[in-house]
Amino acid sequence: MQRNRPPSEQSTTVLRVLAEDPTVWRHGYDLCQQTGLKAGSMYPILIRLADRGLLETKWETEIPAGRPPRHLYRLTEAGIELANELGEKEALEVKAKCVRLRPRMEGA
Amino acid sequence: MNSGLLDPVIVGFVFAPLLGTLSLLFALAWRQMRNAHSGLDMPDRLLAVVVRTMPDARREWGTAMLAELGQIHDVAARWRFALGSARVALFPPYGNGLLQPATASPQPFCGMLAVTLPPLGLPFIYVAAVLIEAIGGSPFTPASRWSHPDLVVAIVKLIILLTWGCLVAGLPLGIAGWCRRERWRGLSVLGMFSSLGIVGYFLLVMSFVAGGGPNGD
Repeated sequence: MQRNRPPSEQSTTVLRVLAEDPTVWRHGYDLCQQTGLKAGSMYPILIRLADRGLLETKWETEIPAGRPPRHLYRLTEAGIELANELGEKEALEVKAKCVRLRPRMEGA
Repeated sequence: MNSGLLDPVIVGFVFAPLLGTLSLLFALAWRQMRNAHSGLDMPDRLLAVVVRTMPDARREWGTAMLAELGQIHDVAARWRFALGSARVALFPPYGNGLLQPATASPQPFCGMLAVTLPPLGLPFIYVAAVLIEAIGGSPFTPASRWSHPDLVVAIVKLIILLTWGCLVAGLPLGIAGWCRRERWRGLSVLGMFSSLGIVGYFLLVMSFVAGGGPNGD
């Protein structure tokens, strides 16, 4: 049975990076560099996202000679929706924090 | 402790099968890595070997990680990526019914146990003997400091039974691994031979000791 737990902080980071331009196909190592995550953390996240239908994968078709094709990733519609939801939630949380901090700052 | 358990000859006798098995496994793994992936560097070889153990449903991800490794040129970054990916390849995440039934693509559990248990038998009984001796002396002698020597003798008998279990375990486990068509079936074969070899080695050395050495005195 699939559990619908909220995504971890690292998964959220990956979703956010992938949602920056959801039409672009990304490489695994580039995602590692962009998110600062190690391969040991990145690939389980990508695998789970793909299992849940949030990530689309394909192999490169135009391959330069002398190297194997690379795996490419981008968000599906469901993945984009989830990334947007998480973005909105994050924005609301930041706004709430600002509201909580304002009286203190004004009082200071 | 004056029973001679720490005598280098005894220590050598006890740990020789373990060291021999470890050396053999290392040599086999090294040879396989060199033969199968000549022309590749160590991070590539390591990851390629580990990816081969991945369940079929996840193998595509292993190939993806290998392809990405090919794009990294910095040596330290290659090692970091290969080690992280190797961890994922060894313990891939499961879910959504992707956990395969054991019969479809069995991991070499029986084979691993078949190789591991026999050489651990003698070190196991040796460590137990050293501990028993250190705590209360030999329970078989009048000088024993144990308040219930009978109980200790019963524990020793159990340890001897477990040791024999370890020594001969390679045979049934190896057969089980072979029949289950596990990955790396060579491990099952190695486990069977290892069990037979170590039992033979043990009986030979014990008969030699019982006979009083080369002169029989």
